[in-house]
Amino acid sequence: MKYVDEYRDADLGQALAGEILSLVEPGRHYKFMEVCGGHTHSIYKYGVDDLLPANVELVHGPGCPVCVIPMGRVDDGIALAHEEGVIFTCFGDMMRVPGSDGSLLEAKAAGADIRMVYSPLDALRIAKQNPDREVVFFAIGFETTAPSTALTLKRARAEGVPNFSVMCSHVTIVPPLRALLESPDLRLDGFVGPGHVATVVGARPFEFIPADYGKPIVVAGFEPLDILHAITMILRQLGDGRCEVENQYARVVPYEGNQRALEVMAEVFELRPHFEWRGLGFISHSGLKLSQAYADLDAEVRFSVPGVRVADPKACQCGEVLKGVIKPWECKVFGTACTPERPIGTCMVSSEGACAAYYNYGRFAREREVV
Amino acid sequence: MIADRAPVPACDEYHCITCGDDGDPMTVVRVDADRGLALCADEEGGRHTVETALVEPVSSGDRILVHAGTAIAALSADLHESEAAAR
Repeated sequence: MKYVDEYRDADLGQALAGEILSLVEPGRHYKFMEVCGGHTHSIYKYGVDDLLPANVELVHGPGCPVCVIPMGRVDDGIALAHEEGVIFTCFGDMMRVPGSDGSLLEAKAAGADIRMVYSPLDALRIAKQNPDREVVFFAIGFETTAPSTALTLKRARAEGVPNFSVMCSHVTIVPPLRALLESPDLRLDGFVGPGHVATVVGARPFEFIPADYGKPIVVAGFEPLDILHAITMILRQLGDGRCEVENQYARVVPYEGNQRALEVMAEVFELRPHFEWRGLGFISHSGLKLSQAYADLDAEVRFSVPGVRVADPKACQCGEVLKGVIKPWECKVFGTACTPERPIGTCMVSSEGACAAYYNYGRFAREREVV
Repeated sequence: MIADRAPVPACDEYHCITCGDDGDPMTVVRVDADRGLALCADEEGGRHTVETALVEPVSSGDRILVHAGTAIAALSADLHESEAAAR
């Protein structure tokens, strides 16, 4: 498979692992954050962490779109789904995220008309097929997904679909990264940057990381060799005393991003003053809502949304996991009360969540170590 | 080839490719330029309707990266390879 097989070659992987070993300084501990949940998933799925020296530690970042949605937002979605005549649509993983009184999946089982879609276009299609019903799309995701929602809203406007609206919970990646870098309890040496977010926004928005915080960042693809290569590039920067943004995923990511995507997002969305992140609290200018020009398609304007704010469950330590302060297995309920089948926290829901990724793959390696 | 630790289907009840920020490489099969859509085939041969506004113009046979039903990058263009070489 072109663009895939080349990046899973075992011999090249061993060669890169050897290069990494040659680049690390003995006695120095390196801590790199992979920002994107897709990287977390690949690292555990392919055992990338097994190829690294003991003094190179990967810390999981906040880039899992589902994991950062607060419980109150799920409760709002469930309240909307119970509105008379509403068909509520959302992506698959969002169905299982626990709210304070169950998930969307449980609300569906209780009779609400909630349907899983793979794209906003699917939700628009449902709206056209059901002109006598109101169809709400629960939009989540980072800048990778936001253009898709924006284009669908433009299409709904152009095609005149009056019964379609969006509950917008899109978020942006830069503000939480800045919040993490300001956090006193986390010391990092560099970042593996989010490849698919950068496909849209480019690598340029990450220049503040070396400029303001003196840390290198390498935007990376999602195959195992991509991640190993990115780690090599970060180590080379550290070894050379350099500190900059590099683009390992140049086969897909233009340094300036996708201008058309940025334009359509600027037209359809505007920044919220603040948005609540699971485990991270409120972060200024980190969430998107529909712009005034598209306010008539905003489900939060069209319907009465409770605006619920719910504290995270006390037993759940998703916040610390999202900030990279603790590893998934260090959470009190990991693998016991909280499993992918019955998640307490969001990190155990999506397979890109650090807890679910570790539960599904990493724990086997850990069991081997214990034996 | 580096093997998976366990088989993972692209999208099942425990893995949503959209939530995962996954990019799905696809090949354009047929273009509906008037509507800004294209019929595309994924690696397993599954057919999908894809929004192409962000990567237009596209033609049959082009390789694109699809996320949430939208093509977010062209894989067949030389642009990125030449940009990579320039850097």
